[in-house]
Amino acid sequence: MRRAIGFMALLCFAAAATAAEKVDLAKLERQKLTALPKLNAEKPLYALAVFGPEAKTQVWLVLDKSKADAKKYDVLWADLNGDGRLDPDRERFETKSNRDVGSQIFELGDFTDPVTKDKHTDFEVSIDLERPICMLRLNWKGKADLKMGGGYAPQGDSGYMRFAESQSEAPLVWFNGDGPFRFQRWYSAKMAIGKEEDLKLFLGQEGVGKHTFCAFTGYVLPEGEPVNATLVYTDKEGKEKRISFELKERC
Amino acid sequence: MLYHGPVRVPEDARPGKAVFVCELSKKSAFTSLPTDVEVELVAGKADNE
Repeated sequence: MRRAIGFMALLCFAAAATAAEKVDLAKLERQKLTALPKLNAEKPLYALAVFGPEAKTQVWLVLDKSKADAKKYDVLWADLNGDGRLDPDRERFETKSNRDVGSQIFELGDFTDPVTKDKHTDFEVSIDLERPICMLRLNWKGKADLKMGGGYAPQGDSGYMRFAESQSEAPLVWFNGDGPFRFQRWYSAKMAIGKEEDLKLFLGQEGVGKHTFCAFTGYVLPEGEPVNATLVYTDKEGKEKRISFELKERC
Repeated sequence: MLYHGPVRVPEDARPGKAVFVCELSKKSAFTSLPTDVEVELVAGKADNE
């Protein structure tokens, strides 16, 4: 009996992994927002969050203003039920931050994925358009140790994700804490030959658009469990070579 | 959270594009897809951060 359960669990896991491997977010058909409320911002800004191993749930995020002449984007619309409509009663959020300076934080609260029924908690969007830094965050399936955030850039000097002026150009962030996971470097774009360097990696999911990596922000891998990194390079005689390293540190 | 550690590009490497193929251990409770992390190998100082 135990073996049968184990076998079934293995099958489910393999199916989920296969589904995730098949997801091609660049080709994902983006659901259109069919019913937009009257927006105050002259240039509303858009981003799209997708959820789950197959990215079937799409939540549009639209930055707006409480009045046309507001200095900051202080209103966020979030299509939390993924129906392509923005409901003024349940899907409109005002910032609780200072509306004149610094970043704006929108607290969306707990979010139940309408497709998978998974409940994610502390869904939050923060924006600072001057830097620019726009981040989406939540606790995957309500677990604080599986907190995910995106979008991260491969290095910090060119800013992070930014919302776009159209739905077609909107950055896409993928929340999928079930894996399989991908990696993104943090700095280390250049490596000196013959010298020791520190290779740093995010663990999470790659999105679509510039600076859209969605990473785990806490400890996920057990202490001492390595990430394997194999350098594939060309030697001075033109031959391909490989050398493997284990990354065991975290910060 | 970043996972990191020391790596050394061998002396016999030719300057130019290379990739780190990154993945979790087969023994891990989590799964990953091998991910190509592109880097540029340079002679001298890398001048990253």
